[in-house]
Amino acid sequence: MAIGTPQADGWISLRSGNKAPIVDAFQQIQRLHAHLSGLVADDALHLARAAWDTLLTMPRQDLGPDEGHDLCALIFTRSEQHATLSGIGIDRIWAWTHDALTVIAGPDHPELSAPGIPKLPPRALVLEEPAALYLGLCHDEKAVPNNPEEALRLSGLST
Amino acid sequence: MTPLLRGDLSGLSFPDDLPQLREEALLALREGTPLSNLFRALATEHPMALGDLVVGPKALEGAIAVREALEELDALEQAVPAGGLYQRLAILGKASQSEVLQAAVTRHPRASWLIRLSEAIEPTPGTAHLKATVQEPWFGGICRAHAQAGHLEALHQVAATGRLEPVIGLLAAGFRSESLDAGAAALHVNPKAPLAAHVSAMLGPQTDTWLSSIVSRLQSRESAEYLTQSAAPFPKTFNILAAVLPGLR
Repeated sequence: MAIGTPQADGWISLRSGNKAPIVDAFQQIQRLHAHLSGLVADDALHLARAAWDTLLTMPRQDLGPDEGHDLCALIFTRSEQHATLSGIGIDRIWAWTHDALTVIAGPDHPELSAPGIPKLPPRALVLEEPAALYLGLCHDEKAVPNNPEEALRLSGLST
Repeated sequence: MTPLLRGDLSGLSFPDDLPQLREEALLALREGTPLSNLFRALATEHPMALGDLVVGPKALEGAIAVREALEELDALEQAVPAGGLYQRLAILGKASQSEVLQAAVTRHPRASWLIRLSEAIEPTPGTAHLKATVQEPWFGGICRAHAQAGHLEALHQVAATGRLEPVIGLLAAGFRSESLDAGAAALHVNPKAPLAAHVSAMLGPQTDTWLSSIVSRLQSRESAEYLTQSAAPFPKTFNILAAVLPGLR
C-alpha cells in the first residue's frame, strides 16, 4: 500500500496471517490498511519511523491470528532529502536498477531480522539513489525466484 | 427368454463363448428383451466378459445397451479403466450420453478426463461437472480445470449464481475480460460476495487494476455499495466507485 503525501511518500509491503482463510486474511488487511493509511511525515526517515511505530503499537489481534509473530514487512519511503528501506522477516532484497534486478541484501545481511513484530523499529537503510522498485523475499518463502522475470511474476507484478 | 438372458451362465467359458453371448444379446436388443439379468450375472461371475460385451471392439451399440451397462458400473470399472470406459459408452449410445456423463461425474468428480468427456458430450462443456461439484471444498480446482479448457460459458453460468470460484478460475487461466464479466454477474445476484478478498489473494498488487475495471460492469447500486466497503485498500477502485455511485440506481 502507498503511504504519505507528495512531500514524503512510500510503500509498505507486508505479509501477516497468510495462513488464514482468504476472507479472514482480507479483513485483517483491511484493518492494517485502516491503521497505516493516514500516515503523514515531513521526510522519509520520519515517515518510516511513523510506519514502524504504528505497526509496533497497533492492537496485536489486528496483525492476524499469530498476533504479529509471523509479520514480514518491507517499507520504502522517500522525500527530497532521503530515501529509506527497512524491513523485518525479509531474507533477500532485490533492487530494480538499469533494467535489471540486483540483490542488494542477502540472508546474512545484519539489518535483516527474523519475522515478527520487533521491540524497536528496525534500522532504516538510507539510500543515496533509490531504485525504481524493490522486491523482498519473505522469510521461509518456498518459492525462491531464479531470475528477475520469475521474481516479478512471483511477486504478482507480472503474469 | 433364454437361460442366458435369465442370467444362467452355466456351461459357458470365456473368452471362447463371447461370440455366442454377443449373438444372444444382439437378438435380445432387437426383440426388446431386457439384458439386466444377463449383465448382472456377468458382472458377478465374468466382469471381463461384460466389459468386452459392452465396451469392447465389437460392443453392443445403442442407448438401451448403454443404459443397462450403467447399472453395472462397479463391475465394469474393475474390468476397464474408468476414463476409457465412459468415453466408449458415450460413443456407443448418442441418446444416453447425458446419463453417461452424469454417472461419470457422480462416481469420479475429481477425474481430469471429465474435462474431455464433457467436451465430447455437452453443448456447453463443463455444465454437468460444475453443477455436480459446486458444493465441494475443492470446487475452485474444478473451475480452474474448466477455465484452462476454455469452458467459458459454463463458468459464467455458475458465476451468475453468485459463486466466485469461476471468477478466480478464469483469472488464473488468463481470461481477464471473461473474469470481469463473471465477477460482475456474481455480484449481481450476491452483492455481499467477498470478491475483493478472493481477487487480491490471486492477483496481489494487480488487484486494484482488475477491480477498477469491474466497476463499469456492475449492474446494481447494491453491488457497487458492497464493493466500496472492501475497496479502501485499492485507491483507484475506491475513487472510481466514489465517482459513479451517486449515478447508480
